Amino acid sequence: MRHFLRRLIILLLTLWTTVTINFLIPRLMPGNPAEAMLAKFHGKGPMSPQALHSIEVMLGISSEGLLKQYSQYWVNVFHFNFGVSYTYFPYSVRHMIAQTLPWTLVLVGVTTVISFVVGTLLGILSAWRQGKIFSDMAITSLFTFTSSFPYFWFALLCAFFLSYVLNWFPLSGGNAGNMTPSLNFNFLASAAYHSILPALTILVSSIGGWQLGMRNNMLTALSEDYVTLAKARGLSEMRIALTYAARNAILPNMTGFAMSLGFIVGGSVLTELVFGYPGMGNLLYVAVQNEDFPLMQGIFLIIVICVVVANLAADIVNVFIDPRVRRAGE
Amino acid sequence: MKQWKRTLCLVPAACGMVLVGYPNGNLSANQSANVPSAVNSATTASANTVMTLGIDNGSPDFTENFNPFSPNLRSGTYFIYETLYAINAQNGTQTPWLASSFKWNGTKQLTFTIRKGIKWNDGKTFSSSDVAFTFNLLKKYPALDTSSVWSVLSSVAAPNATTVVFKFKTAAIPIFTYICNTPIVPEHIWKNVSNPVTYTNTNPVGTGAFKLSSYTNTQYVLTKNTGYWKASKVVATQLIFPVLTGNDTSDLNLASGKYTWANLFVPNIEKTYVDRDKADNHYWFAPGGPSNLVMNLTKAPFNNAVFRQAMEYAINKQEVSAKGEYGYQPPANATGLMLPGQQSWLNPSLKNAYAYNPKKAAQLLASIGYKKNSKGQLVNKSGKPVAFTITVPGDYTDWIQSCKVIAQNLAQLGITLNLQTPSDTGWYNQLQTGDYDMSLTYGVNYNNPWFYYDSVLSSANTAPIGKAASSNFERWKNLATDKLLTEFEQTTSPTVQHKVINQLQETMIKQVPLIPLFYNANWNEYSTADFVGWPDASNPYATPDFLFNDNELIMTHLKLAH
Repeated sequence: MRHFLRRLIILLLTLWTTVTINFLIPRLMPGNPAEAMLAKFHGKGPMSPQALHSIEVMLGISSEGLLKQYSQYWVNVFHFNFGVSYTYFPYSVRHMIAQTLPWTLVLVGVTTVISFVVGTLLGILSAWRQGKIFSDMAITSLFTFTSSFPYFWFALLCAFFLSYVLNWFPLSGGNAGNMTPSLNFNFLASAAYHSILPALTILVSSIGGWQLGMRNNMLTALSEDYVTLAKARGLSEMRIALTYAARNAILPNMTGFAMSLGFIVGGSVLTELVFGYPGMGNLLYVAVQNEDFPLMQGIFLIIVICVVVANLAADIVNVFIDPRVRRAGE
Repeated sequence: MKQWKRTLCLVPAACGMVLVGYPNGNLSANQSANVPSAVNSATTASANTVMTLGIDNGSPDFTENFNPFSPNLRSGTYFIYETLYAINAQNGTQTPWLASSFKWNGTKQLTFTIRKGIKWNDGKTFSSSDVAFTFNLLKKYPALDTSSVWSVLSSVAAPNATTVVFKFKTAAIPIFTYICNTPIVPEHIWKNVSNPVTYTNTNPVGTGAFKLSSYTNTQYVLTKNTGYWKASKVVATQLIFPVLTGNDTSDLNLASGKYTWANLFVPNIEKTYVDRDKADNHYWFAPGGPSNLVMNLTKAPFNNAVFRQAMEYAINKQEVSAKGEYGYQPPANATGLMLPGQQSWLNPSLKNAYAYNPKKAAQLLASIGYKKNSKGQLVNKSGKPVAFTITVPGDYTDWIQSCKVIAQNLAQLGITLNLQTPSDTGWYNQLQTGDYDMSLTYGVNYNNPWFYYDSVLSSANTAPIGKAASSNFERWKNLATDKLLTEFEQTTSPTVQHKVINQLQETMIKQVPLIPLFYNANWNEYSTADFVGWPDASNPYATPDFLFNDNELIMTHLKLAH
């Protein structure tokens, strides 16, 4: 119990720090958000000097004291109210995140889980059958290759050959042009069809990491005395591999998985850019590109909360699958 | 207009690889997210009257916003609302639109006669009270007044159904352009809008040739307004706006003929677009205001006019245009006038001033005491080598290339030019506060040269170093110039106006407050397969910049090809 309590306090401290930093950074930057917006509009082409004034009026920049802004900021955080996005004016940050989050949760969420499950299972297999031509040598070499080439290059190649040359998949977007997101079959089918290629590229590039990590951990575990003992006792191969070796070997991978679950909400910037996918990665890129501080703050806060919570979840899961952690806390 | 600059640096490989590397690539109709499936179903047997426009960028999807005063409006809005007059930004030609005529009474009263028989697309009658309401709305909500017309207006009223009277606090004749560029909104709808600044106007009611028929975040469709007052001149029946998610995919769609009309930056356009269908694929990058090389006039050596003249001679604008700007943006005249559209304003004695001449530049520098030292560096009187920094945003790849050409030009004279590439905001902040040596800026240009000269030369648009200047970043402060600009503002006489612009051109040539480098291009590609009569260099009746007026001008000019 003390273990959880300590974890919870650390979690709250982390949250407080990040919210405060999130609040301070844009305000410590040289220039103000209005200037960033002005630069953005200036960059779009000639505009009359008079137009600048109207943008300042439109944004309504706060000139209150820092302390008052800070307390107001906390109130806003609890209401998840980050104000108006400069890029998507007059839409609010909350509106934009609500619109893009489902896309990312589905695409990156599903691929992360598949990638972890498949990668880890293949890692167990490769380690258990160490040295076998297909189940170890071929798989491990292939994944060493796929996890080492640059994602950006691979995604562009896929888009070029599979979409442009062969016409198998759409070039970009999350769904066909004339559809409104809803839960009907046509839309879901279109969204699924559009997500195949991005999902494929994420899977190919990420699965290798899990497989290689799991294989290495598993090999270490297999050389332990308790595995030898289990073999001597005549336990079934499957039981030794899964409940003895894999259960111990999976702990580092589990932590990594929890972390990546937290990062799902941040989206996959490169994937979403290459395929014009309407998710959080693209939103974050647009926010950074336009120095849209309210939008950045909203996205960062969500990422931080999810990562911290995912870490806590990983701790809890570790407690259940690893008794040593439980005892260390007592 | 410049959106491609950012995208270019984002996916340099994408454009290059995909477009150059694969000449025979083809897209099937059902294959791309950006291409509507509705195209065929709506066509008639004889002629295709549906247009697909590659002009509206999503980021990556659209946000629904048809508020004509919003900075983030959907481009389709420009086909829904109309203005009092259509002014051709190329040459200033005025075409009566919602108003049939106008008249100045002195310099402080402007009266428009409003056309009769025009209806809003919801069937209600349009009248002068809508015009008066629109301008008074801008007064009430300054955030909507992007041209600051209320800085000079004192009242706008509609004494009867066909007359609108604008009264001015101070004489400001050029404001006519801003008044004419203001979209007119219906009083019966907008009077009930609680906050017009954040209003997204999802059911737009306008007087224009088209109305919104469907919207999703990835595509929207406008259909012809059958009750339009010029309906017989409009041949297009449907406009489809698919979302543009990135230059690479949009360029592929353009290359495979998916867009009737587009405003995309395309590398090597002859090969990637025109060659695909030489008969029907065309482009006309209409010139806009010039991009300028600005020098910080508060610093030495830029405070010396002879030094600035030497810079004007030293820079090879032709080379800057060809190497830095892909040859798409032609070299600008040293007077800053937008040619050929503003030919009639050009002072004939100055039209050929400052042809590239490095020898002349060296002579001018020698005449004010600059010498070359043994290392080949140019040194000033006290023997210090001349070196300064040029500051441009890090993601404007074409400007950076242009700066490299300029650096080579100046190196010939022994001047060291260092390149600094901060973020957009950093660059703009440096320009505003005067914390730079040299930089590039955009020039404003509407229908006559006053707008350009006022923005870059008026002391009202500058500020002391450290304070934010709005557009006169080089900090040119000159009483004679200010007087000329004011004189232009206060006269309706073309003779006086031409005299003033002649003198301002002389200032540009003799004093070189800034160096116009090249004309910004309006990206514009179009297909003549279904529609003909597009504006081009031989008939520049409108600027294809996809803004108010120009769209309506073009839509009422187009004819069916078959």
